[in-house]
Amino acid sequence: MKHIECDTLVIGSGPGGATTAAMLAGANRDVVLVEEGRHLHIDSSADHSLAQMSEKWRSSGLTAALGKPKVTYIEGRCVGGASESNAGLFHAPLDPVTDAWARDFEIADFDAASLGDHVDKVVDEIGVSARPNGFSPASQRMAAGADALGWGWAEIQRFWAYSQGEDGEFVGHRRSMSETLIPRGLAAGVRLMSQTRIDRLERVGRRVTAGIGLTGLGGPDVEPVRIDCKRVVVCAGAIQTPRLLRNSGWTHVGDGLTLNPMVRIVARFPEPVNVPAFGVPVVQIEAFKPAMTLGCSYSAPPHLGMWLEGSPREVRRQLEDWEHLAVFYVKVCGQGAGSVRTMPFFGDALVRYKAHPDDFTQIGIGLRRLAQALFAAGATEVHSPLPGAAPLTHTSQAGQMERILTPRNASLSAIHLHSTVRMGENRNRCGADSHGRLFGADNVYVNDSSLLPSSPGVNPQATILAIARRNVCRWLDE
Amino acid sequence: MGIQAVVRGLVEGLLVDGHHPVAVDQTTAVLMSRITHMPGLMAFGMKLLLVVFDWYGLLRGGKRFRYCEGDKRLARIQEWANAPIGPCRDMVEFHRKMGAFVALSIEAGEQP
Repeated sequence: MKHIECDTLVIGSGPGGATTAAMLAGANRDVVLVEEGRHLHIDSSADHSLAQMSEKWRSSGLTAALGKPKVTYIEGRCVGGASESNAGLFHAPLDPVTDAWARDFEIADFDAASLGDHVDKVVDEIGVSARPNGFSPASQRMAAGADALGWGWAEIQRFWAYSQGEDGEFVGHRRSMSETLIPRGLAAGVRLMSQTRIDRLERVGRRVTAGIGLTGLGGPDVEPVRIDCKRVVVCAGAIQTPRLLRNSGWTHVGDGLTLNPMVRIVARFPEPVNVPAFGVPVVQIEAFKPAMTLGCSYSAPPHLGMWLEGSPREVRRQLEDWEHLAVFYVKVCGQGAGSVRTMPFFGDALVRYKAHPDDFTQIGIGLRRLAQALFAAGATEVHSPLPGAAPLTHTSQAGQMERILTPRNASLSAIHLHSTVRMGENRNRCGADSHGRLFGADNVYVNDSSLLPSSPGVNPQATILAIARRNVCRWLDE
Repeated sequence: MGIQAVVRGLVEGLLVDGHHPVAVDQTTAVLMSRITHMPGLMAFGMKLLLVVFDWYGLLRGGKRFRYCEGDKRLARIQEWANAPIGPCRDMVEFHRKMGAFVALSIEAGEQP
């Protein structure tokens, strides 16, 4: 067995873990950062590709919360976590949401203004920018449709940087954790152990003494590892964090899972709108946030093939002029709740989610609004998310979208999961205190999306980074 | 349990239109790999469903699905795509959506 000692063991290297490790090491703490996935170059695989799914997502992206309906979701599994492959959309936390969290979950020293200061620091440290040379034709249609209906829209900035090549073209660079906070942490002395999984925390009463697991995963020499430590910070995400804690005997965590159910549809325009080289479209209709977000997805032919319904011949017919097609989505702030449990015999997390009836109402309204916006932007066909249904061809038909999805036929997906170890002083509703210290433990902390008390209503990466930063500042003060 | 022949039959039934070449072997291999790497319960459930689906063909059409062709194959797929049992529909949906993504990625030049 490999034996390692450290002051602080940080488990998980996504935004929460990378922030935690870099800040603690920067304050001269002895930190070991453990990541189950591999340490890959940011360009090791093309964005949105089959290879990226295999390399950077847990189970190649094939994970699902069981329920009626099931909800497919993705988890990052590589150094840097989901930040290595997600859209990196930057949304500051919404002030009303922050204030509601502070009130409803009794979070001490937590308000929109102070969290905003941490968001500003995150922006300075990582970098956020808008695309310098305009946005994609599909995004332009989205904006035009919103304008025509008098709905507000915005170009969303990203954790991204752009540089101009000699040919004058702008080239984008993802500001992921492996490009920002991980190198900073390594320079400050963080010992990074990739391809290493901690399966349980060894404890003596309320104190953890070591993390026990395996190292060398995915290679020829897998061996047990024991990492002795004075404290542990678990940052493995909203699914793996409660799984590890429950495996280690803290069974009060894992309830309250929230997510943002999403439905995608395809629309056809008379002119070409699909230019994959633009990457992720960055325009969202903001008028209905935080309850719902309407936007455009990456729409290369393989992605269109996934979301076009119909016979093979019909799908092929549609794809003959794929440049005229693009994928759009409705994402709602889910009102349902789920749970994470450990699975006997299989060793995986058992994730369950029960969608709330209001979720379907909201998705239906969202689909109707999306269809209206797309027709207002000139779409000639808006495809149904259900197999066998004829595409809508006129805005007068948009109302049909409201009643189309039911728990039986819906195919929901989610990108953002949270709230399985909620923070706050309300012990009936929270798994950790106002700064992430796990209830029932003296030296165990949580610092990732699990802490968010509910869905933030916007892309959560900036919120997760800001809260992680806030918590580490407090720990260092202590 | 020999599910590869069932996955291959699903790929052919769900993706081949008779006019465009589809990399059936490679798509099948990638889907098999994806099933293997699913979380334990999901992988177990998917394999079990594929076995049941294979033998269901014998009950309904006199042949296991892997030996069905043409309309019979499509009829079996359609039955499960519209089945009242969610996991049956999910099994077909997985092969259609992921199969389309894989096949079109390969067609676009990606090496699986």
